[in-house]
Amino acid sequence: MDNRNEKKIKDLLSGGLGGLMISGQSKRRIKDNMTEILARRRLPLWKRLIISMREFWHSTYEISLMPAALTGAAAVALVLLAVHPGFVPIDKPLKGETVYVQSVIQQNGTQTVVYVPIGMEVINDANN
Amino acid sequence: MDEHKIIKGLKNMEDWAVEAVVELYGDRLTKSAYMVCSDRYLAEEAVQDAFLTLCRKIDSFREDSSLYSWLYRITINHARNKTRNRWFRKVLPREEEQFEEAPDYRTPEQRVVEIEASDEIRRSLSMLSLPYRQVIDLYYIQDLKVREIAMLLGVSKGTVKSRLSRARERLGKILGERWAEHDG
Repeated sequence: MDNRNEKKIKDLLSGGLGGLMISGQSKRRIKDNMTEILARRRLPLWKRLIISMREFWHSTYEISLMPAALTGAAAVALVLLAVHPGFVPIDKPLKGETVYVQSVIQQNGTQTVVYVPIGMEVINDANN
Repeated sequence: MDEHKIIKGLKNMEDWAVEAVVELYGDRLTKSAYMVCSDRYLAEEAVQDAFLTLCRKIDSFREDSSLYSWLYRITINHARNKTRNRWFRKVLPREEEQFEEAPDYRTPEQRVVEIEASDEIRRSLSMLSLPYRQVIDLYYIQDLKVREIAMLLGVSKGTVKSRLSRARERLGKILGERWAEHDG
């Protein structure tokens, strides 16, 4: 390898990047953050857990916990509506429904169940 | 400061070890991160993230490589991620005094000429592809041996040598005029 060329490259690069240093301000910030992490690791597990939960809450409640809470509330509302007496499915025929009659036919010892529509139009809604 | 002492200090969660590791490797890692990002701010952020990762994961460090190698790999990964995500990052105004250069004893004229030269060299470096920038950084700026670079990058010594040779050649072409000026 040509030593002269090597020196030339080194000189140019040290001119170009030699002065690139991390600033005092950033160094302090990095050290503070690292010291905080170490200080936290010195805490008992339960305290660390509480801090993590608090941080998780502060970092995510707007982006993930709110939609989760809204979805949960919607699910609860659906369940409440489903069990409300006014929304329970009814057995009585509604107006315009075809009514079937269940018939049991017994012949030569065999039993068959048939459903026969009784061509009856419900004029009045039985619920009313 | 001995690396083993720093590792032991960090594992024992001692604050002096934080001070020591940032002072020892902060500037070197910033230069390496800059070679990946070509952006001083992103480089600093990558270095900060690397040091925080070091604090969180120090217990899993098995000392089968040097602390510097480990930190270097973490820094490069962070720098690459930041470069990849740069296009959708929100640009916020930065404070002017965030970066410092080494103490300066030059005249204003010398300073202008040298700043221009520095900018040109940084621009030229950013025109090289990442593998070439990495070997240039490790060999010429970090002063590592070919064997150490090979270990750090996980490639053979031959690969390092060929990358170095091509990087020199390309840098030479890009910096053609400046070469001549330097020779003069």
